[in-house]
Amino acid sequence: MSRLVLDVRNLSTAVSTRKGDLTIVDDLNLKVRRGETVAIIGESGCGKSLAALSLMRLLPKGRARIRDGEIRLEGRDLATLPERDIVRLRGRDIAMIFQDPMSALNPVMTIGRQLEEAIRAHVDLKGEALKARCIELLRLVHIPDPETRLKEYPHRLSGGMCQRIAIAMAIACDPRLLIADEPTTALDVTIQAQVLQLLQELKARTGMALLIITHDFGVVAEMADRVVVMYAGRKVEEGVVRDIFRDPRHPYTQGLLALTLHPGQSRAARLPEIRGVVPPYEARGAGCPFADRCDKVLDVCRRQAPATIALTVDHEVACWAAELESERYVVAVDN
Amino acid sequence: MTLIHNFSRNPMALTGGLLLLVVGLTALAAPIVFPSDPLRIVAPALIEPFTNGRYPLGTDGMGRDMLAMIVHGAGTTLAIGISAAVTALLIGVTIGAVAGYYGGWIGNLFGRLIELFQTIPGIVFILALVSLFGANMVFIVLIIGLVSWESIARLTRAEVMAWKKRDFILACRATGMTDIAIIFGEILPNALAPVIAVSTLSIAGAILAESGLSFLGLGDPNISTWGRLVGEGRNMITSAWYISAIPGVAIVITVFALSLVSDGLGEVLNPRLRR
Repeated sequence: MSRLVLDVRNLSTAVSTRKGDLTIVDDLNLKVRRGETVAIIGESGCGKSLAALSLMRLLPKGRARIRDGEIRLEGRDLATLPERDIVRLRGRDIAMIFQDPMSALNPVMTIGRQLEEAIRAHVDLKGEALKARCIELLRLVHIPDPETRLKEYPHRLSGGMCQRIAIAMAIACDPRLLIADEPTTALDVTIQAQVLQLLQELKARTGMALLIITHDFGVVAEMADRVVVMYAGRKVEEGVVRDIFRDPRHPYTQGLLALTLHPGQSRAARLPEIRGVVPPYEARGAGCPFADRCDKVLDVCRRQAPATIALTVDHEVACWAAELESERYVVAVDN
Repeated sequence: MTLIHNFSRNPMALTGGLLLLVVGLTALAAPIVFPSDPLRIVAPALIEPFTNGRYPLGTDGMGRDMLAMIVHGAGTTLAIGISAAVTALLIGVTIGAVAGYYGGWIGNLFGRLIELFQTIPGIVFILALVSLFGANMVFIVLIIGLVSWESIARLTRAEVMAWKKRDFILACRATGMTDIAIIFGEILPNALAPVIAVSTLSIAGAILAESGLSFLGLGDPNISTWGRLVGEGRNMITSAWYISAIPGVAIVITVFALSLVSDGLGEVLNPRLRR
């Protein structure tokens, strides 16, 4: 097994509300190996973005905090590192791109200035060398005519271009891990494909690991080696993409995959849906948060949340029903 | 260039700008037009304005040329106004930015500091400090700056609070930029436009404050400002009203011009109205 870049253990992130702290990310375990692409998939509000911000230690101060767990980035625990050291790691070891590229750039600064700032956050380059690096970065993300683009302001560029610039800024200092939080959600379908392709290409070129947050199984199929399915702040299933698509074990994953359209699907038939809604965070009991929406619900589901078990070496699931169904030898995962 | 273009298309701002230009040029031309000391006694006392071709604005109670004193006063008055406003701008922007960017106890502390200064009556504070430490011009400028930064700080704080929530600030933090780099490099360029507009007005405020101080006789005795001229004419206001009125008019025009420019800048620099 190749070296781990990111090793998240028992991460819990809480948001403070008037009624007290709510745990939004609950006991998350996550591993990303070198050069690997891992996708976190889940519907809106399942805690995937908050998990990503936790990894960057970019949680809004005073409103959300990491309550428990470790975030090991190449051995160092980001969860407990002082702010001063985190600032040094951001951009250099771990970088991030965001959902809305149009608002991810400073409207009053030229592309060039912004790239320079991103580079100079970690590397002491000046004058011509700095400009050359900017142009090199723009070439890397396939911006045509980079010399003139450097002088442009963001409002003159399209969404796809802005996302490329944002990617260029994120990879400016060769991070080991790039977190992409819904990198294509705000883009046209054709542009989506280009941006995903670009991310693949950059990954191959630099050897960085990629953690993609998405709600689109299409993106998962296209990009990821492994996928983590999140529901209501918990990891419900994790596995190699092929296994998850072929043999999803958690009823939620099965439901999500059933929603995916296939070519030739009859238009007359009703689309399957997962009935019900995600229970609000403050209304959660001890049981499995999916119990009320689950077709295979058992008595035990409402009493106790299922532990994560390993079905095979790289297929984990947290579901009582799946545990019963599984005839294979089952070991509890205890990391 | 579009900035100047937009500015010149706003009639009020243009009027203000031109008036200010005249005052500025007057200040620059003073040593050429009136090379000798303006405080020298040159003619009989109390020549009424517009009666003598050599002294178009007349002479004061001691026989000094009013026009020469007004022209020379323009420079000192503007210089005091601008340097006091710059002082206020530096203090206000720094404190406002810190108060706005940081939440928690730092933000609270600086926020309360702004509120504290808001409750201090400016002119009284200035009088107290000047009478305590003496009337040195540099000192007066600093004190005026010290009592007038609060409105700039409040505005900066509000702007910074709004801008720091934007996505690109998060993106900048994700690239590992430090707080200082983000505040001064990313947020302030966005937030500064309305602050600049308000600062223009605080030049006017500083000129008025200095005039008030000089009128009360607490200005720097070695420097001739318009406020001091008004103050010196005070004794003869019933017999020779024009000695106070002429520099008074000069102050009114300058302050008026500054507030026009401030309004104009507020509109031109406002990104929401920008095309």
